[in-house]
Amino acid sequence: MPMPDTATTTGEIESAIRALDRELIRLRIPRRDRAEVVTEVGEDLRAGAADGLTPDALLGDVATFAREAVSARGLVSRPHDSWNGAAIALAGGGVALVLGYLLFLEVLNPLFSRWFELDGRYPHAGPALVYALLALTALGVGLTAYGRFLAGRPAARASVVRAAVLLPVAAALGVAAAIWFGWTQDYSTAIPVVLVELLLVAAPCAGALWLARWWGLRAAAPELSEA
Amino acid sequence: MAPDPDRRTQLLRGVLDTCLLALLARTPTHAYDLVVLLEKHGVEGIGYGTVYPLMGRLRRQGLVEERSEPSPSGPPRKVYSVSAAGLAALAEWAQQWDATTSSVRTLLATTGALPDQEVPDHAHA
Repeated sequence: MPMPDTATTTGEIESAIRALDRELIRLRIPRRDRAEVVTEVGEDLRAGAADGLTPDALLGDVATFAREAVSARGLVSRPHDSWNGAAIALAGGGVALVLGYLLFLEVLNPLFSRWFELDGRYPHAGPALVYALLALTALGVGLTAYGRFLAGRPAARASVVRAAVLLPVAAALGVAAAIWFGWTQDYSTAIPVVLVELLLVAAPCAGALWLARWWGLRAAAPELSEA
Repeated sequence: MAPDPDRRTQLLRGVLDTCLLALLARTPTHAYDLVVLLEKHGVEGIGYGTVYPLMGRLRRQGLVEERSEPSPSGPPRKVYSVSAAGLAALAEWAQQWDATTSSVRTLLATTGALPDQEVPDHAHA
């Protein structure tokens, strides 16, 4: 083991630990695993310093050390796909919503109105049923798009299961907020008002999908590190 | 030709996991102390940068266990010890090493590369 010329200072150790932590962050290692490695190595560096060894002498190249430690321990990098997954799910759900709206209200409804002469007594639940069906279609297509995007990635199933719980709740809250906002604007169809309403629905949905991915990865972390 | 330290290090790396298990079987300890112990046993040229990741692998393989131990200088430190599976692996690997080195030593002695070594009778057959 190479012996240093000068005594190791606390500053050198702290600096080496920070460099290691930065490298682990760059490798997208989850916080808990990162903290464990940094604490262990920090203690060993202090023990080495008591023998007069510098962090450089012990660790060598920090980037190489971090890579090897991560690989040997089987630590799993957190994939950088949370927002991409959310965007694809929202796009899928949005397209399904628009197509469903066009199909039900712009094609089928006028068509049936021309074909059938009703007696003026319409079920009140009809429009609610159509909108509920549209919402379910959008949720289903959004979740399917999310699942297909995550297929083959770590913790895909755990993330989709959580998204299936979180997304409907977020969508319901978003729709409620959008209805309230529309009410305050006298249900205006001005473009800025509609855009705000869309944002009020999309933002919580995107947040729910991000949270589902984060939660899924966190829950599956022990199994992933064993793989 | 001068001895090549890199070649020796490469040879040792192949058996390093066995050495670490053997050291831990005798005394449970930290990763840094293992580097010091290796040096004390004449296994030089193996740095902390090699030992620490290897301990991670041994732990992942279930051959090594860890427990926290209070440290006078800071937060509790992890102390590694050999698991039951590790002890079984150590026994097997130590035998493998013994058989391998014995065969190589015999070969080298038989071919005259190690002139002063005793060669078992069966090696001449």
